[in-house]
Amino acid sequence: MQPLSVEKVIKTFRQGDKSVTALASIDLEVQQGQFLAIMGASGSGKSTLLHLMAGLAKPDSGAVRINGEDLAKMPDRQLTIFRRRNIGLVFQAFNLIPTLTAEENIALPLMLEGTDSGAAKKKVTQLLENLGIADRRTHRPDSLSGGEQQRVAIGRALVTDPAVILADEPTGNLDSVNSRAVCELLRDLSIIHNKTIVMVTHEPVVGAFAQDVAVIRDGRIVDRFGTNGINGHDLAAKYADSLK
Amino acid sequence: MVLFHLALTNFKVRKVRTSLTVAAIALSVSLVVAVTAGYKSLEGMALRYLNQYMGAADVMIVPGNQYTFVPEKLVDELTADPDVRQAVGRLQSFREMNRAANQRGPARSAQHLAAGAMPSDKIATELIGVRRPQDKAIQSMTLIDGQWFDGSTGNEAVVDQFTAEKIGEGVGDQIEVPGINSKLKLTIVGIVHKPVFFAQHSATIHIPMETLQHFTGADNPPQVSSISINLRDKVNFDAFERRWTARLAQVDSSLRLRARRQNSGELEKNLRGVQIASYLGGTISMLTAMFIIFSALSMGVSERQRTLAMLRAIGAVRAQVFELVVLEALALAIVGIAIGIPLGMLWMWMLQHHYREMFAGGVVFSPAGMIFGAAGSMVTALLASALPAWWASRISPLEAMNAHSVTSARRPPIVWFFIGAILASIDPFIFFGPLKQIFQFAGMPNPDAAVETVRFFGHFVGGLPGIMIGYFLMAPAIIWVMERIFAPILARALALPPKLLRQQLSTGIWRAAGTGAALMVGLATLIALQVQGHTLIGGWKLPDKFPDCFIWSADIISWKDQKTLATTPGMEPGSLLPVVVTTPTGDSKLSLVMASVVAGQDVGVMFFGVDPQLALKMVQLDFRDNDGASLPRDQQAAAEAKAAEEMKKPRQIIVTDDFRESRHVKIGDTFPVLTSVNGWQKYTICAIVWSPGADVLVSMFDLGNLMDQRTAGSVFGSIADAQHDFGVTGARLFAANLQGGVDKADLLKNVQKSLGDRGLVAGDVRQIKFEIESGFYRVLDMISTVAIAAMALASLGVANTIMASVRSRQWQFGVLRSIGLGSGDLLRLILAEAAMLGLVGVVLGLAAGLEISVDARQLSGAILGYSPPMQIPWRIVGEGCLALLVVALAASLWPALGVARTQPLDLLQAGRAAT
Repeated sequence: MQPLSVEKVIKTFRQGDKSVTALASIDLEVQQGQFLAIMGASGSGKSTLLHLMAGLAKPDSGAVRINGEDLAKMPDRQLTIFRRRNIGLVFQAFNLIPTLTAEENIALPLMLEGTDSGAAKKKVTQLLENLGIADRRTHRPDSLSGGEQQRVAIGRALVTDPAVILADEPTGNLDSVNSRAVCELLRDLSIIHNKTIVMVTHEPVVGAFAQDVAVIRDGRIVDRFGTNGINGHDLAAKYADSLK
Repeated sequence: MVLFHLALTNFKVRKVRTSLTVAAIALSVSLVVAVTAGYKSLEGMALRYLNQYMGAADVMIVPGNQYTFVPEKLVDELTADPDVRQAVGRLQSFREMNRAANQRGPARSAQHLAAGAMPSDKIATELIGVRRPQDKAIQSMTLIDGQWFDGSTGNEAVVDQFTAEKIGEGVGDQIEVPGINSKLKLTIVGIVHKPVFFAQHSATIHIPMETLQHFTGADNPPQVSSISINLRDKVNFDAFERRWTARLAQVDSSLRLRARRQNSGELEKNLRGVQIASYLGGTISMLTAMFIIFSALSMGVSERQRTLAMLRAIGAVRAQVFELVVLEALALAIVGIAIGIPLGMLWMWMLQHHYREMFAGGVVFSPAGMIFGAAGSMVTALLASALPAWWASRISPLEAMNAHSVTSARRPPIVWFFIGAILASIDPFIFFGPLKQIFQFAGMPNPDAAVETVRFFGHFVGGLPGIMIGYFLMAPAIIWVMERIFAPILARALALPPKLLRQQLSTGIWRAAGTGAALMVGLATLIALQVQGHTLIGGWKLPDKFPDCFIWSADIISWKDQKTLATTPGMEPGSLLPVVVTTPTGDSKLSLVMASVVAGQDVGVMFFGVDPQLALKMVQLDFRDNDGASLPRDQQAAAEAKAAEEMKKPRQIIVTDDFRESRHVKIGDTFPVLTSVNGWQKYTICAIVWSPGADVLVSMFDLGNLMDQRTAGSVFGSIADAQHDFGVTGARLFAANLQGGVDKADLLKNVQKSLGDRGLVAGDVRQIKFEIESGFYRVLDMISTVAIAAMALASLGVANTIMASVRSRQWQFGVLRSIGLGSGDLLRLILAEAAMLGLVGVVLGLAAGLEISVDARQLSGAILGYSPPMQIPWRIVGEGCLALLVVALAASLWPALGVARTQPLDLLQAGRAAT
């Protein structure tokens, strides 16, 4: 059973008096431990696809399955709890709670779950060390660098040991050094820890860190290929070809 | 735990807002604690004084009403009773004594006198007959000069310190007590201390018992006003009560046995109006705090939309987000209560330090008041959090993906407006809707009574809250409209670009609505109180045909002494009209009203006994038919003659048209009247009249007391019935005509002087009206301070809102300043927003206040049988509106000055950091 599959998903939006098709019958499968980058131009539908995968929106038709469960059929409460336990979200703008420390931000999903504080602390400590920010645990977001904040966000996404990690332009607010560090981290999570990761990006340099790239244009997957260790420059060329 | 932690950290980030909100709650709780403690202290002081003075009597024997006495021989019988440790009788009488020249009463300017004020050279004095040396309880009063007299005869007196000051006499001086036929000369031998609060209302002169009995004619047989009884230990009180109730019935069926708890109950009843006012003040302040809490919470939700969306995205269910906001509200309330209760206690201690005399009995805190303040604050916090919590729980997790943006309301929130309008319509429906038809349709046996009950309770339980919450829900739509109308006007007035003011409030429409509602509470309360008060009083018209003067005596004037009174020089012979006013149980008027409403039936009406033939000649009356229409002019004389004839028969009454309407009676109906001697008796209605004079008569006895309203009903009967059914032995109030052919004003002055020498007060109807009105307006203004306090409290909400508004637009202000907007312009921009908030409060307050006033007038008519034309004191309303605007502007000054002084770059950086 794949951890993530999208089956004939259609999603439309209303813009004024017009109806816009954001996704037109998308099919997509992601295997366990796979690191997939979804690339496309602005307005191509990549973010909408990610939202549907995260259960933040529902498709007009089709199914989005995580570990075999169709998210579209779940009522709100069940979906929220499912998302908490099975989906890790990493946002472009980090979206950390400004009043909580790094370790509290990471522990947040466990606290919402009602996990025992001792067990939660243990898990969070391990994550902080793995992410290389153990020395910043008591710092609030406003005293962390962008890269550190994104690591905290990744830690928060990982803390419940989710089936899938979904990242929406995770390097969008980072400089090149931090971007590279975050991408390497995600790649290591996939290769070493067998985490299933789907990342939305418009940057070929970032997409090159993934194993697979799916190109989306006008709401359709127009191409999908393995990166096989190609660099960003070559990926950019291949990406451009896909869009022709 | 995580939610509590999130709430706490949120407070730390918004320290000023949290502090202001907590301050609002703390102030409202402290107001409740202080005001209820004030009432409790007053009650405690009264009880302590009464206990001290009356020797903490276990039980008292009192007469059935104010016109009868208790035979003093019962004191000996009681003393001989093995269950009685001590029995003491005291006689009370009242006189108007002359004040010292330098101790005149409230200042009466020439304008006051021209408007009808009476010269205030008298002081109402209570004469207390004390049998010494038996009455040792009296010695518990602290002697501050001289000594007590030792016998029951002799011309000695002991006065309280207030009386000594006002009449300008001391130990060793002689005073003269005026009487109808003679004066009583006394020598002051001692001065005692009486708490000023009581002394101001009733100066006291203690006189040997038999001296006073002889002076007042209560010596044959010897009579007293009450007997205080102290029982021995372990007496079976029920057996004692049974035994003596039977004995008293043999002596005089109107005599009553009253246990100590009933005494305090009586005191409570008399102070009931003050107690109600104290809780009303607390409720209004908590209502204001509720809207402030709402405003703060809704600001918090809108500012944290992204955070809340993120919480939803990472797995917080709706209920958890809902709980978070509710938890914040409760946490604010708990902290507010924890500060407010000690703060209220601190206010009281400070007041006690400043007004020692007022708190001579010490400060007594009311546990019930504290619980009311605490529980009320928790409830209001919960209510205030309902909407913001619901909004927070509806935030879509998708919004975590969006960039932060503030969108203004493109369309007015119509749905909330309609919900609010429905809620605000509950009260008018209660009074103007087809309730009777609904109850009839439902098959209720007594739809009229059901309508009255529903109107009374429905108004307070559903109607008033519906109006407050309804206008709050309508506020966003009203703000939306007002912005479009007033923003351009304000912009021009303040020399600002109109587009800058557009949508200032509607970008945070609910926070503005909450603040507007907080401002509304105070203004609406002020308007409702003042309109009700002015309507009750202001509708008086002075009658054309009416007695030239009224005379009243603090003491009963016997039938015999009335003959002497009738010969007062200047008075038209044969025109002295005694007016006996009594209730069946001697209870206060408010107690009658409340009891009749709660019991749902009559528990008694006020009975005015007059000489019918003389009264009909002296007073202008408009005779009505059974539908309330005036009889044609050619039938008036016949109706008057018929009424005069009928009133010669026993148990006939004349009722007013208001009474007819409220009681649904007609001529010929019998009406049950509760009498103090013969219980319930059927009286026959022989005429229905209307007269402004009747209003004056009724009001004299209704409106002299705090919080009193028109009675549940007043009827006019004969003196003979008053004697027979109520046991009256004299009268206190008289009407009289002055001799013709001479200047009435001068004649009145002469009559006043002549009567004044006998301890009586006389005045014409204009003067009576002035005195009653002045007293009433003083009380009204005092009660209205509750509304002023609520408006001041609302200023905290304004400050909160303006600060949040400034914070959310820091970046925008930075941009404006960078491109050339001056600091003065920015200051005016923010003050304009505050002015708009104030205007919102004014519009809401005016609408809510006037609606409450219209409905309250109906309530008066429905319950109290009196519904005068509405009088709106526009000057006071205008002042209230202006005060509200000033409050709003003043509260915004500090944040406005702060941001105006900030450098543009700092604003830009702060604004970016905030996003």
